[in-house]
Amino acid sequence: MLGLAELLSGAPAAPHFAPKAKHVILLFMTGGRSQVDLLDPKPALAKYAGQRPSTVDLRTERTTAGLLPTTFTFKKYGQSGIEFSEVLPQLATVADDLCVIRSMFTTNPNHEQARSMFHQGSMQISRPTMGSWISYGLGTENKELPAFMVLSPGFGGFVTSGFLPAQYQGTQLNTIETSPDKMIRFLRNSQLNTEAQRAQLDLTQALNREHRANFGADAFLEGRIASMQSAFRMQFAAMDTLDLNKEPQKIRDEYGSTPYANGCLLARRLVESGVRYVAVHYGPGQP
Amino acid sequence: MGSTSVWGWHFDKHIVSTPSDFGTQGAKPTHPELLEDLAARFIAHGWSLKWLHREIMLSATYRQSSKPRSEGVQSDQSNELLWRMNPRRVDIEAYRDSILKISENLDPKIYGVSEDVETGKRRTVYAKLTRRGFSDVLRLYDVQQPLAHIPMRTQTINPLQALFVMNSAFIQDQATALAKDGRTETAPADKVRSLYRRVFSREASGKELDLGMSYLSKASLEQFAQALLSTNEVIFWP
Repeated sequence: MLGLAELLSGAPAAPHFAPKAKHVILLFMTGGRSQVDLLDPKPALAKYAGQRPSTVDLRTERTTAGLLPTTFTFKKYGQSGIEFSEVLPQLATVADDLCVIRSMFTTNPNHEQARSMFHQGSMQISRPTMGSWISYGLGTENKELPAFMVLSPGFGGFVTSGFLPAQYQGTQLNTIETSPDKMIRFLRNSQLNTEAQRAQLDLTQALNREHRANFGADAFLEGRIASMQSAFRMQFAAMDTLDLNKEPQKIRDEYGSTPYANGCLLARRLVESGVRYVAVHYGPGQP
Repeated sequence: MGSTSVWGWHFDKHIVSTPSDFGTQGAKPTHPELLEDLAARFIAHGWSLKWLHREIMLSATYRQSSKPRSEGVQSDQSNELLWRMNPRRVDIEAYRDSILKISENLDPKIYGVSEDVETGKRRTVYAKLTRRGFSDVLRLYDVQQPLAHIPMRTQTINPLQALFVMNSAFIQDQATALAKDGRTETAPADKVRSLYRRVFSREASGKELDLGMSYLSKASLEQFAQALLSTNEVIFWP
């Protein structure tokens, strides 16, 4: 049963490479301020302010004026000399702990495609999400919780594993709710105790293995067997890890009480308990 | 686009994986000649969807078994070349309807107002969807925002769906109704056989009989019915 238990645990196999990164928390602040006002000073915008460069095709949906520079001033911070605008005085104090990437772009001006581009590296919504790749590459450290979790007010985060096996798909939690059994629907079984539930699941999984033996190896069948196993364990682990009341009041006050603040605090609790990749979304969809 | 949509509906995989974007930012077709040919003949047949469905469903490709074969798995695991039918997950509409049908709770009434899928008994096409939101069950099974343009539904599989199957009142109610049927039988083996016919429309194998009888020695028929409703076979479309 040992090998089988491992297979059914829902845990991705051993990583392909020894991981240097331990965990990833992605804070995806949909509808945030433009990078030009925050971290990406573009001196040329000021130089050519108000002009419409004739060599560039600047067709826009509505009539627009010329190039618009930021109205905020930038300063270099830390030893690295990363530039921050005056809008981010707090973040600027930790400049040397940050890496700022300014080279990302999309070839489509729409929000939705840009979101796909960011999370899936492509505007095609059928590609695997970053969290799927990372849990696929690095495996998991927590067998009770999924390796890739998405926290979003309502449901609108990117979770698909695309062509990667189904077990690398993200599991989505609703951060509008604050108690674990509301954040995850159907988390508790009202009829059976743990032992009876375990016996019932053992039967289901034994039948699933019979069925798989008759049909043949299949990613869907494997994935669903793993997801049942994972769900069973999640019932107990989630009640504990997702319970924000376990945090001291001081910490909760520091984070605040919005869905996004809850998401950030939960993300910390999740990575502390070994979840590999947590994406926290500010809103449920495009702004 | 009509051709790839109908094709995708039958095969669970579109010829162009971005079925509403054939432009420079969309994906390339996996079978360009097939797409050209189907589209041309679709037009020649007066844009008849009926013709298109029939043409696809009568093809040798459509009528293949979905069982994996080792040489196919080795050379083309993702089945790009369609050496077998794509096995898939049943969508929530068919899944919920079939569970209601199995428990004989399905209300076949047509027309009228929509209703909540967790408490209602009508077919899932009557599920209540509003601009403000819709049932978590639909969401867990990949129904997307009705306001957005969604060219295809991506079917997922995750532990939250498994929690619905294990813990929801909806599934527990159907299991209870299903178990009522088996109570008229007296011998445990007959109870198991009866439920297998109801749930899977087939006889239980020897191994399945043994597993069922051994489980029934320590658990109720309702719990057994729920275990059967939770199996892969119910939600898998080979």
